[in-house]
Amino acid sequence: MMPRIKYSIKTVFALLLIFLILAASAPLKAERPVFVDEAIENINMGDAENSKEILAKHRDNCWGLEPLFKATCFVNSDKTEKVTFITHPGSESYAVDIFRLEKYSDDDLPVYPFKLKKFTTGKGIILGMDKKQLISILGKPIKLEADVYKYRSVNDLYVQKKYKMPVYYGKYYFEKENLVKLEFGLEYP
Amino acid sequence: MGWAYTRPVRSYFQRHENARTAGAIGAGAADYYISGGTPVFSSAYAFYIADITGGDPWEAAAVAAITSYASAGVGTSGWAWYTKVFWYGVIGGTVSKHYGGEFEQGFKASAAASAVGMGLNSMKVYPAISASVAGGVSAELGGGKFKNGAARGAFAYAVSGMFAEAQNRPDRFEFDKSTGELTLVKDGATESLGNALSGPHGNGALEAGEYTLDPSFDVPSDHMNGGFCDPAGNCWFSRLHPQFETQRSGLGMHPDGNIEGTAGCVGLCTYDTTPIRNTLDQNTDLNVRVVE
Repeated sequence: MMPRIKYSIKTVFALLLIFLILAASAPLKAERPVFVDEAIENINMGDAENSKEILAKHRDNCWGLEPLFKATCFVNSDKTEKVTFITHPGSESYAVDIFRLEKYSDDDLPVYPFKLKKFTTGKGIILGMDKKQLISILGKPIKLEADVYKYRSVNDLYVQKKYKMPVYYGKYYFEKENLVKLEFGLEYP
Repeated sequence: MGWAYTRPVRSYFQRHENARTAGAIGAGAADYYISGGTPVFSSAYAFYIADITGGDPWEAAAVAAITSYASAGVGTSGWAWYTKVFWYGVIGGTVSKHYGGEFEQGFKASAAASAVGMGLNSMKVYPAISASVAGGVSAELGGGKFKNGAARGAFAYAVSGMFAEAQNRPDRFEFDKSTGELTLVKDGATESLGNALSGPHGNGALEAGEYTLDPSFDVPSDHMNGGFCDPAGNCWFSRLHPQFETQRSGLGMHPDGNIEGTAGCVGLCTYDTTPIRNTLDQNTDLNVRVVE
């Protein structure tokens, strides 16, 4: 038979207090949500210094095509894909806050410096992949509208801490089961 | 008339078109500065000019008074510049037609004069100069009946409107980051336009200093989840251009929609931002001073 241990109320409160103090002082672990993508090729979100070298020559060449934000566009080597790097009002010049990748057919935009056959996001997403492949990388979408898969986080600790921004979003557009366009990044508050 | 006009003055005005133009500008200015916008001087001037050039003085005075009120109304209406130009043109055309000239000729003269005058006003040219240039343009383009006789007196209306418009122009917007208040500054006095904020997201609030402000443009209501819309449904953006070196780009002024706060822009927190938008659109090149 196990001996019964008696705790006084004072001891219970003291232990509880110690637990609460330890919990509060432990650094909160800010894990990246699985659907948060942060790059296309070697352009990283919010990293002006890193992006400057590539974007400077064609800086804001898509400004005007965008409804509001400054944007720089490139195409892949065979000019079938277009990538748009978008900078928020108030961000540092060359800092990319939103990425957009879509099918393209004209040839009046500069080719991305590294002459890539296909653009790849930081999470390994490429145009042409199907819904299952997308879900295997990003998880199930938070919202599903016809052929648009939507992801969104509000006040996520990781995004807040790294970018000091409240909202991350991702939109993935499918046509006939294939990914034809995607847009992800920080929503302008 | 039995009034004792001094012969040399009368003769001079009868012979010199430019003198009559200058007199009209002076009368318009006097209406604004001395009689507080009441068309006393332009009516008296129209009366005098009609009398010495063989017109009906009472009719000329009445036309001058009516048109002066009408154009002062246009000048301070708060309408977009092109709407003002149109209505100045209509007034000019009506005066021209009234005196037997062509509506089109009067319309063109007044519209061109007002466009020039407003352009100079927006460049902060001293009102008397912009009104004089506008008067000269009007006289050159007017011609015919519009150029002569009693219509010249009535022309003072354009000048009066121009003065009213120039005087109505504010000096700048001022945004105080510490209090979050946006004000309109005019002749040293401030008028509160409500609360605004900048930051705290991204790189935080914009830097203190002088910014120029572009005319606004519409933003789709669904852009960035309504981030540029006020609760009344007005969605717009106006670009700010810092007048100093900075690493930040693309700043602007806009209603603060979606999540509270901005990434550096001046976000307007009022329910309906239309009055602020109208003020900045009607006063091109108005600066914004951001203070700590």
